Amino acid sequence: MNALADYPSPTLEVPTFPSAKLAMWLFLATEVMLFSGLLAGCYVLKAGATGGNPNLWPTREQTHIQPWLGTLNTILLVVSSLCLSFALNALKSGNIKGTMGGFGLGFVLGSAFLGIKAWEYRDKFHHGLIPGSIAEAINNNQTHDSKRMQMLSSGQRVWLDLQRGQLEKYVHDHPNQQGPDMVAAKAFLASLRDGKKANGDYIRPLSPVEAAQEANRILEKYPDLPVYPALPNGNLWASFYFTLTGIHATHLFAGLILIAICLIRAISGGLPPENLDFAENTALYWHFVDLVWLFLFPLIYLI
Amino acid sequence: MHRFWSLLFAAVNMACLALLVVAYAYPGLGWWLPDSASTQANEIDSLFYLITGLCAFFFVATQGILIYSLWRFPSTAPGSPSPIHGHPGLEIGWTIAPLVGLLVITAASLPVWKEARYQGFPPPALEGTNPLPPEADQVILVTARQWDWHLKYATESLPAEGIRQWASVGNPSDLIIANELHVWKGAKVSLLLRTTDVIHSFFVPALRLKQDTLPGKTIPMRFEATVSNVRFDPAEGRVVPNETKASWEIACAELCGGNHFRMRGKLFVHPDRKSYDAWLDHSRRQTRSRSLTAMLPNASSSNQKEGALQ
Amino acid sequence: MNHDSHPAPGNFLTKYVFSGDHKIIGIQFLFSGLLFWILGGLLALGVRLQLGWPNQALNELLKWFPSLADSIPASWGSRISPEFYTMLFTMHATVMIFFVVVPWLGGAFGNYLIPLMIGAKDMAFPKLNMLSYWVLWPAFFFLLASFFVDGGAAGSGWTAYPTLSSATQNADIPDPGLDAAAKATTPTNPPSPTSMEPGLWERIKNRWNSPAAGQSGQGQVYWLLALIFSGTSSMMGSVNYITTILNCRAPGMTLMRMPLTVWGMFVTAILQSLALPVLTVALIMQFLDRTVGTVFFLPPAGLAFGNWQTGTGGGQPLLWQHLFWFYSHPAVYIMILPAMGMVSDVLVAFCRKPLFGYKPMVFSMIGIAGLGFIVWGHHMFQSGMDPRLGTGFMAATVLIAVPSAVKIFNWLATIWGSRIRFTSASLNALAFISMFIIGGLSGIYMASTPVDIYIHDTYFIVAHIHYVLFLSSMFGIYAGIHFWFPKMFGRTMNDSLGKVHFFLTFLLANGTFFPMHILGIRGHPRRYYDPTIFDWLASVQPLNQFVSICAILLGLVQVIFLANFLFSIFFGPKSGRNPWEANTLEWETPSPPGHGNFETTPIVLHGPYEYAVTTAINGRFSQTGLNRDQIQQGNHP
Ligand code: HEM
Ligand SMILES: [Cu+2]
Ligand SMILES: [Cu+2]
Repeated sequence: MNALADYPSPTLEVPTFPSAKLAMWLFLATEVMLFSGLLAGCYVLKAGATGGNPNLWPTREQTHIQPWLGTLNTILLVVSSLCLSFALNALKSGNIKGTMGGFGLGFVLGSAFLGIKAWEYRDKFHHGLIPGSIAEAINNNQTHDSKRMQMLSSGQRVWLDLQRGQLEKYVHDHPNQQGPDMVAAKAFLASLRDGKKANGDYIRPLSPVEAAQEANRILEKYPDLPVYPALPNGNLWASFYFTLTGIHATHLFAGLILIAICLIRAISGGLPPENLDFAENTALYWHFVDLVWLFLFPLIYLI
Repeated sequence: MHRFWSLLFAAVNMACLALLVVAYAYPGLGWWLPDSASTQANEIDSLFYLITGLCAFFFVATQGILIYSLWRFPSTAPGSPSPIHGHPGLEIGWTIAPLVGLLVITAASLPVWKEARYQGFPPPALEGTNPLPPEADQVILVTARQWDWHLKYATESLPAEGIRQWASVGNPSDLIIANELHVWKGAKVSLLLRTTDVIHSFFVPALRLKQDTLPGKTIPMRFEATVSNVRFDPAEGRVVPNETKASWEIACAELCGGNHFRMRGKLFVHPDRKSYDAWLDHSRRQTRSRSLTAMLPNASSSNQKEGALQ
Repeated sequence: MNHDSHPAPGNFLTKYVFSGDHKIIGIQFLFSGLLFWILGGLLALGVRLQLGWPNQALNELLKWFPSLADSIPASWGSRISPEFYTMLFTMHATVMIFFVVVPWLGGAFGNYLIPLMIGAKDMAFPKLNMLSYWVLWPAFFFLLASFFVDGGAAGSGWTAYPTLSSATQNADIPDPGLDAAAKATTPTNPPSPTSMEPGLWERIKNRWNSPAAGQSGQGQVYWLLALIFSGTSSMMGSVNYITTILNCRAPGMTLMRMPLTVWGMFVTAILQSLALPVLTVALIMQFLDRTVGTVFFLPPAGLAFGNWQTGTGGGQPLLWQHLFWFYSHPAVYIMILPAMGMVSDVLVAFCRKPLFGYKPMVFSMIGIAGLGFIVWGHHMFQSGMDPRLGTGFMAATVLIAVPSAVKIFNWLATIWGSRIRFTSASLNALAFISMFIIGGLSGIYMASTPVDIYIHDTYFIVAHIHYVLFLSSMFGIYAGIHFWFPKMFGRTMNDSLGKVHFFLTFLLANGTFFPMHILGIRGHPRRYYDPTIFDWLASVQPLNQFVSICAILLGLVQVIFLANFLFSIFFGPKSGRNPWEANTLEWETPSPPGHGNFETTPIVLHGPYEYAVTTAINGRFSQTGLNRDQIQQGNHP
């Protein structure tokens, strides 16, 4: 037996796919799993919480979601992706000005996205949309059985505290206002406090559930008062909103750092057209982050 | 010296096997399956023995070959190793053989699993205003909390609004006691398991019954006891052990905090419905004066705990 | 070779600390794993002390170590507290799984062996490789620091099921009793508006300081952070391994000529890179639940504990289990596939016979990995998951036992008709096979859903875990250390000491873990602080005690291994390039290999297991076709 004959002579294997790119694709595969896990989890939770009933999910008005902001952000990201593609092409053809312009514009647009996102977060906080401290009474009162109501009431003390503080601040800051909205605000505040009337009668403060219902009623009349609404499954909604957009924003931030490095290298002449790996990977990553946003955008802003 | 290693492997494996055999052959040691007292327990035990049989065969065969090889093929043995790279026939054979064994086990498992778990999933009993699962003789609501079990027994027929209403609000006359599960032999028992805080797991070894309680969910479970271990003695006003002298316990099988091991309860299987009813009636009269509010999650539990009788 | 080659390191710091050399990084993983191994072992002994002598554990301990008396809080008396006990087993499992077995198999052996075995100069990304080690340090920090925070380290099990691990009180009512009362009595004196909204940081702190159980407070937060960092490390490693294996193989090293060790690492890396992100998601969710108050794992109505309640929820505790096991079932294979590969290589080298069924071995690894993604639900048969899903998971689980069995048969056929040299390395590898049979068989009991009703969460599971992880993976690691030690340090470990260690470990580990099957059959639940309060478990207390004694001795015996290991690094007899006369590429380099590994690029002509070749001078072909004499003189073509 000639054992050697069993073995073909070695061929020098030249990898067809450069390592840096392969690794980036692998990394993106892990990212796909990360976001799939997250989205699948959210989907399951939402289905479980609402049972498919849209009344059990906060509306866009209630959560102060502004689709036009989301659309603007989407456009920003898509254009920034195009900028990066442009920058890469420019780099390949040796057009260093174009490269710098592409990366620069991409960076600016990405930062603008984060800026808008930050403003949206602030707006949410301003409206009391903080996970774990949102009141959860009732749109139309269905399916919330008595046991759940009991539990809700205990869970809503946080909301109640925030609500009281907010109103107190409002009343305190507007000493001269006497309009009907102020009257309503003061009455609401009084009904949240434990205490005695001028004539000495004891008033029972509203229970958290009553207060939540009252808050929704007041908001219908005076939407401008700093009253936090009670939202069905509001806490779950807020958990999704902040976690999904937060993780996405973190990725975006990392992408901005990569773009900044590309930009600096381009300016200092450290981006040789022969070695495109870093710039290409940056663009690839950025496109991926955009793609994720294209999934998140309809989920958060349109549905 | 090389024989030594073969013997070591043989000795260790045989010791392991021997331990199993001894534990099985001497029930007095209390090292084997505990009493089995439900239909499900008997089926699970048979399945256990079936798997044990197949595994024992596989174990003896593979370890035997290993030990024999160590004995027969040390480097000091004459001759030289054979230059074999593989054998497709063998590969196919030993892929199919375990597959067959495993399929046998699966086939045997399916009906038992179905019997134990499929009923009431998704729990029809809890949807809408369904009354009892039609076949149940007894419904018991088990609420776990750190760190005991609260069992709610209906003393009258369940409300018309259905079992769901009963589970969350209940009748004023319901009996709520801690850590005692009373059923009677042959009763088709339907348990509803829930928890107010963390995950626990309702484990009754004698019934081979185990089910986690899941926060936010009510999980139905069924069993039928086949052996009784107590009867109610009206003269003494308490349950007394019968001739089996068996004492069956309830445990928690899912980590639920520092006192996880403390969630000990007892299972009392009455010989018949009469004994059970007598016990129920007696216990209820004992606790009638106390206001038994429905078991609200945060209601103080002190009055409910005392309902137990021992 | 197609990776970015990097310059040889200059000074001590770049050579041994912030080194990009895969060999140094591998050894760094090896040594940090060693330290955590000792820590994990001590934690386990704490568990066994309690179970062997419930309520008397500390008396027993003081008998032997009177000097410890001062360091035990007086309030404890002779007992370990139940909360401390939950911390012991939680941290034991966490340390052993995430800080010992995974870093040893993937980090130490993966790093050290992959480039050497495929004939590469280094990993594809040396810097990333270095980073993958150094992001472990934050994990080390959080893990170790968690022992010293208020409430102690995590205590909700290595599986960290919500709501035990995640439930917290409302952020703004840290002390419901006092705070609520204070507010109620001073209604006319509202707090100043600015102080009404607690800062984010206070909210976070309030939350993590108000856990569902004494042992899932701040320590749990640290636990989550530690796991997130260790996961990041593994993720970086996996991406690097896959790229290296695909792109940096020496000429002629086709995929089907790779040693099984490399295959094990390759499949593991793929498993890890696809499964880990899901765990990361779960960890992040739990982290947010515990800190900023999201409600992923809090059921809609919230929870009521003895004297406090959580806020309103909306999520589902079961989601954690799905996400966790989606990672952690593949993770159990992450913890054994590399060992399976290593054992195959060790075994063949000492059997002097080709591996039986190379291709079936490779395909069964791939099969295990593929099926591994669809069996996670077998950990959740009793969790309240829809039982129809359970049926599906049972079917998949049963199937996954088939490739495991195929591997066993192929190993047996490899041994059959061979000529085995009994060394410390080969004995440990043989023990792996023998013990994996037991571990695989106990898996079948649990795969059968009805039987699992009874044995789930009993000591039967504990026995299974330890047969596959201690008696299999750890024996694989012992075998690997004995086998590749000469390559790593240029010296051999003492074989007689190695055999003594093997003999004692083999006996004592079986003494420790086999009786656990009996405990499980009896129904002894796991994670119990004191089983003796149950009548039906009284009869197995002698077994518990026997197990504890064996465990303590087992712990002591490991000192032999440790001593042998440390001593041999400095004083072991020098070994040549190829002390075991093995075929794979790493043996053609000097021991230890220099920077860049190979003097010249190896050209691979053969598969890895060409032993018993009658036409060859030494009865074997190394993968490059060189014979032994040439190698030892260093005469490379
Ligand atoms: C023949 C193949 C195997 C089968 C059929 C199998 C089956 C199972 C099943 C059904 C469970 C869940 C038991 C329960 O909690 O009720 C389980 C648990 C476990 N298995 Fe396996 N297994 C196998 C091999 C392995 C291997 C190779 C490893 C690790 C290297 C492993 C590690 C574990 C661990 C760590 C647990 C317990 C996790 C926990 O609850 O803490 N298994 N196994
Ligand atoms: Cu428990
Ligand atoms: Cu598993």
